[in-house]
Amino acid sequence: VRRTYALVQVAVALMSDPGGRHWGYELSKRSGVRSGVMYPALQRMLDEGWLADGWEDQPRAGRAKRPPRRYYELTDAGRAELGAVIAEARRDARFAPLVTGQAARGHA
Amino acid sequence: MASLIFHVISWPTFVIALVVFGFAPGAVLRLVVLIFRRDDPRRRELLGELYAVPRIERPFWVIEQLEVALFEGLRSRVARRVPVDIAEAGESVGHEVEVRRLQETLSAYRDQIVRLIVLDAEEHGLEEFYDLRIELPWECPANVSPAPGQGR
Repeated sequence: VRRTYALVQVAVALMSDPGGRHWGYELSKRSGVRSGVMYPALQRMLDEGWLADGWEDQPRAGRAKRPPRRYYELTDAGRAELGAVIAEARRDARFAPLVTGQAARGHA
Repeated sequence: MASLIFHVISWPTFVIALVVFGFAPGAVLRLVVLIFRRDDPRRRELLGELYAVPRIERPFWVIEQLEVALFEGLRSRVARRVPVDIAEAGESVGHEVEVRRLQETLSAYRDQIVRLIVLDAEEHGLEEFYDLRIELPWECPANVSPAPGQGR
């Protein structure tokens, strides 16, 4: 997977909660990546086996009277790979401000 | 120009835009996701995500999904179609190769048979067979199909 700004931003957002479920809209907001860029990035991660996906429970969605949502979870391989992506980004002058900025926003 | 601006900002236009993008983004999104392939999970995903988007942002979010659908949905449809076209073209080419090989085999048999007949005719002094020619159907000029890109 090619290292891009969007990939690093999505990686930081995903790694802010490595064991949790991530939902498309929230992930887009947290990473600051437009959905037009984020969804293809997520698809590449799914193809690589870095992410697993699933669907929200039907009863829960039914109670809210809306279709079930799709969620994404990091796999062990994904945690390792995205950890490496972030570590590499910190060393790279082009990505370093991006990663530190995101981290600062995430901790705020 | 003034009338155009008037129509753009006229009440009916404004109300229609408000209804379509403001009150019925779900309906618009249902049309947008049709661009994705039938088996693409993005169809269900986007419909589910719509309700997570704050109501005020929904019209803009739906427009953004139109962009996603046009780029991702159409691309995946094209990506699926191209290998099928190549395979179909390959099958067609493969068929032509098989036919040509069969024709060559039959022509070789014909040559051997003609040679045997001519040898036999020479032994028996049958001059009418000395110049024997047998044309197979695909060797007749009337039956020869033109090469691709050439007319008859």
